[in-house]
Amino acid sequence: MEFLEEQIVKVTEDVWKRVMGLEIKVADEDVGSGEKELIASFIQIMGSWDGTVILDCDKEFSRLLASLIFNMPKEEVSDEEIWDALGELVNIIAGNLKAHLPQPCYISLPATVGGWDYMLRFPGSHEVSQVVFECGFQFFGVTLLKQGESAPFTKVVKHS
Amino acid sequence: MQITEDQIVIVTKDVWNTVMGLEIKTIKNGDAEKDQKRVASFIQIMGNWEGSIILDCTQHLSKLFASKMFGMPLDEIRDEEIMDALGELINIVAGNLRAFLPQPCQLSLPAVIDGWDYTLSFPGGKGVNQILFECGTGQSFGITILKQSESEPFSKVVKPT
Repeated sequence: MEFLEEQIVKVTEDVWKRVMGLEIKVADEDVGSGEKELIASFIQIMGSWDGTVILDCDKEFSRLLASLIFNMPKEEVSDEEIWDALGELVNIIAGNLKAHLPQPCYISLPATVGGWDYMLRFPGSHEVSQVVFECGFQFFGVTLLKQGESAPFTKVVKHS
Repeated sequence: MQITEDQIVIVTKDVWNTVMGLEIKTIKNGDAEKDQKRVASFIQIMGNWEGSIILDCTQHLSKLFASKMFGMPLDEIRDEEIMDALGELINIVAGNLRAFLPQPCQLSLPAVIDGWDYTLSFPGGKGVNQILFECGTGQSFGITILKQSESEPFSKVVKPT
């Protein structure tokens, strides 16, 4: 069992069900694919415990999530709504996980990065937990990084 | 309380001079090298003032910064050195600018993004100040301050031409 894995699964299942009415389950898959535009939304935690919570998925799935959160047709969802939706979702997940970390700790505002060709890195952080979920044959990941002295974590998105 | 343009300029010039021995000056318009890979590092601030501080430049210029910081030849600089250099630079700039903000406020760890095609957005972040600098190479870099607000989200967009 990875660090806070049980809490990650519980809060993510609960949020997806309560906010968007979606049933999800833990999957043994990779999120990334070189053929899709990928979005990652993340929040940083600092204080007695330093690290980062990342929610990542492909752009089309994030559009579905935004359409359910804002109750609008998928084709009318703009990039701004996608950023807001992903930011809000990672905010809820991070806020919940914070309660399980040494206090005091604070969470940052969410930031979102999306595109076909980028690398997102957190110097000095390493992965302590990653859970991949399946939602109707689409996959998304929730990753927890902890600040430490080990090799830096790198999130890679490359166009095929 | 707000971070002023003068404070950003003073802090950035001082950091570039002290850490890398580079003289920089402010400019009105950025470089035209839009077909280059770009790198952005940023730090988030929370507490009595909430927002983000972003450093962005071409990958070519970020290599120069890393080579100056680590005393290495340009052609030996790897992505790891660029990441460390840009993360450290934004950490020092943000650490200095924090003194001008209402206390207490906390700095996050730095994050670094590089690539040819990405959009970095801070939902609820409003652009307060963006200063462009040039350091004698003909290439520019920017320091941007965003403050959390209820207005339109700020997006940092990098697209290949």
